[in-house]
Amino acid sequence: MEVSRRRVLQKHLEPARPLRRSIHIDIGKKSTLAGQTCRIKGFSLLISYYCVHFEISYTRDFLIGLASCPEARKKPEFLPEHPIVLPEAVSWLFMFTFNMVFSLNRQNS
Amino acid sequence: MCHLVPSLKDDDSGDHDQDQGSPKDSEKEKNEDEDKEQNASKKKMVVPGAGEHPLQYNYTFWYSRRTPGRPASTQSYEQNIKQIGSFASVEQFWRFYSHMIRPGDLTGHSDFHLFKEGIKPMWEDDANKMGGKWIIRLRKGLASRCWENLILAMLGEQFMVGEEICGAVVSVRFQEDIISIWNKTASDQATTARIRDTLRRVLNLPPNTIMEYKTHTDSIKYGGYVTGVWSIAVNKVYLTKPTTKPICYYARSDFIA
Repeated sequence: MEVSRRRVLQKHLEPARPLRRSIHIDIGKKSTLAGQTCRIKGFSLLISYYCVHFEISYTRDFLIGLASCPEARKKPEFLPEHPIVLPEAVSWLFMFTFNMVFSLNRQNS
Repeated sequence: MCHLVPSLKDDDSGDHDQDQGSPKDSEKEKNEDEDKEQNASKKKMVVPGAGEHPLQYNYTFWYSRRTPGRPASTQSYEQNIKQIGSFASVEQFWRFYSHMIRPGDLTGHSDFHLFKEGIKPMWEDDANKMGGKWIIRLRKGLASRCWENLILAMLGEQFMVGEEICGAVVSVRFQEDIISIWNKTASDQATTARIRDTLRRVLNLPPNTIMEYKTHTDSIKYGGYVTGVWSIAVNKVYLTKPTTKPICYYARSDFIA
C-alpha cells in the first residue's frame, strides 16, 4: 500500500516546464538563423526539444551585459522627436548601479 | 494583417483608451499623415546588423498618453498611440531603450508598449483578439525595474511558450502603475499558467502577490463600463463588471524593492 501511495505522490512532482538543455555554441562561428546570416559571439543558446522551431533565447544577465557595448549606445537613426526621447543615452553607470542594486536585493531575498 | 476598429473603451489595466466617437476632420487628416509616416517606417523591415545578436522576433516600441481631464469617449486610441521604432537585435533594442525615459519618470496617464512587429497594441488586432493578458499592479516606484525585467524576459524568450506572447505594456497611473503581458490564446490554460509562473520568477514576486488574468473579449465587452467605475474602484477595493462576480481585484503587489 505504501509503495502505491508513493507512486501517486511522485506523479504530482512533475516539472512545471519541459526539460531543456543548454548547448554552448562555438564562439565566433558564423551560423544561419531563420534565413539570416549572423555572427554569434560567446553566448549559450537554449534549444528546447519541445519547440518545433529553433528558438533564440538569452538570459537577463547576458542582455544586461550587452547594454554597455558601443553598438548599443548609438542613437537610433529614425528616432522621432518626442518628449519621451532623450538626446543622450542613459548613463551606463546609472544602469550598472540600477542592476547591481537589483541583483543584491535578489540575493538577499 | 491588422484591422483597426475605431472603438470603444478603456479598462485602465495596462492598455488602452479607445474611442466610441469619430474624430473631427482636421484630426482625421492628422491621423492619416501619422499613419502614412508609421506605415512608411513599417515597410522598412528591420534586420540585425552585422555582428549583432539577433532576437527571435522583431519588436516595436509604442507610446501613448491620454490628456488628463478629457473624457475617454472623445479621444481615439489610435490618435494617441505613437510608434517609436522597431528593432531586430539586442544591440538595436538597447539603442532605443537607452534613449527613452524610464516608465517611473513618466507623468500623467501614459503607457509604453512593446509588441512584436506587425502586432498593434490593440485588443482588436488579429493576433490579440482571441487572447488576454496577465496584469500586475505595482505600488509607485517599482515600474521602471519591473518593466525592464519583464521586457528582457520577453526579448530573451524566457517564457518558453512558442509564439504565444504578443507584447507587454507598462501603464503609469495616478496612484499605482500597472504592467501586463499579452498572449494570443486566452483559452490555453497551460500557456497562461506558464506565463504566470515565469512572471513570478522574472519579477521576483512574492508568492502572495495577486495576479489577474483578463481576456480581451472581456475588455471589449466591459471596458467602457470599467472606465466609468475605475476611479471608484481604486478607493473601494475592487471593481465589478455588470454581473455579480468581481473581475478585477484592487490588490497591490506589496513586495519590497
